[in-house]
Amino acid sequence: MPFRKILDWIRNLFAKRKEIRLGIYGAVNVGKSTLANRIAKDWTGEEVSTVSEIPHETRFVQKKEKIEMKWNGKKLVINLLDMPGIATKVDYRDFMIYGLSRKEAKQRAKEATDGIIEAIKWLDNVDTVLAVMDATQDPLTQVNITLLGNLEARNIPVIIVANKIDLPTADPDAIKDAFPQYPVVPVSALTGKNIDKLYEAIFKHAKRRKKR
Amino acid sequence: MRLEMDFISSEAFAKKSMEERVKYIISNVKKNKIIVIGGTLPPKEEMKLVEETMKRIDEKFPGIEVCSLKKEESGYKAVFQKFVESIPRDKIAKILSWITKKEIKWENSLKDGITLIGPSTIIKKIKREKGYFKVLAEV
Repeated sequence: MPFRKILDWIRNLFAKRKEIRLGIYGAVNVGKSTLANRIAKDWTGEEVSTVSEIPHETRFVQKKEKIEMKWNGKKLVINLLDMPGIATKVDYRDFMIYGLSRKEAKQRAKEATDGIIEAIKWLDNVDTVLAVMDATQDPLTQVNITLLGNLEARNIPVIIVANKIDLPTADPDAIKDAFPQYPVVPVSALTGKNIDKLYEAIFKHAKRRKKR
Repeated sequence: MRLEMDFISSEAFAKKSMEERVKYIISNVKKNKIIVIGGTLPPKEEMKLVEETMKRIDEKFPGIEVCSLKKEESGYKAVFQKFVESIPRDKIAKILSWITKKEIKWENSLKDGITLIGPSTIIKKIKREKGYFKVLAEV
């Protein structure tokens, strides 16, 4: 029936509007894909990305759509976007240390640079960002500062995820001190430690942007 | 080996468009120069610099190292700074150009601070502290 079709179309239109594009951004090897997998597995039972110790494992935007999250009686539908790590340099020789051939390393470097460009372009299309930082490293890097500056300039809500708190050298307070104006949630994406706090923060801060 | 450094005032840089500035930085860094600017680029321009750098990476040019320190305003000055930054200058200039049929350029002023950009083959490490940064370079 045409009337029912119209009703379904309107319902779909509104259902779509409630979806939030949640982008996972950060420097290389801070645990973005591990976090994406943790979120996707917790809510859908399936992972979204492959993880590797070799830098730039995620070289294409990985998506997991229509993840339904429920928290304290509230519901949120997110489209999870695991972004390639942002970097200002990509040297193919760095990949050869991990045993890749020159040809493989060059191919990986080419894909990594394309991935960074893609991640930057996506900044205009995400609604909310999880800015992942490695809590064992100095947070005051240019990549972190440039990323947060861009999110602020675009009015994109951001939650800083201080990852890797399972490691003994982790210092999430250093991240809180460096960026006091943002909500910072210390987690271990690998073990799941404190992940509930992140879900609570997502429900509190995540929202759609007014303009796309 | 020689090391060349260019020091540029914010006034000189403000006269260039975003595209011209990014092009200037990358073309000079690719010549193994270190650029020091007497101000900081807007965040979107910094990201544009990263994007354009990625397009030009090859075997001899693996990328750049960047470090910027900007003067942080507080109180009402910080609110005013945010308001000024939120003005879409390029779009307004385009509309005014279209209305007046003349090319209108809105000067892209830089914020107070300092920025250093150099090739990653030369700049090995940057350590940032509150109010200053240290650069380790190897020629």
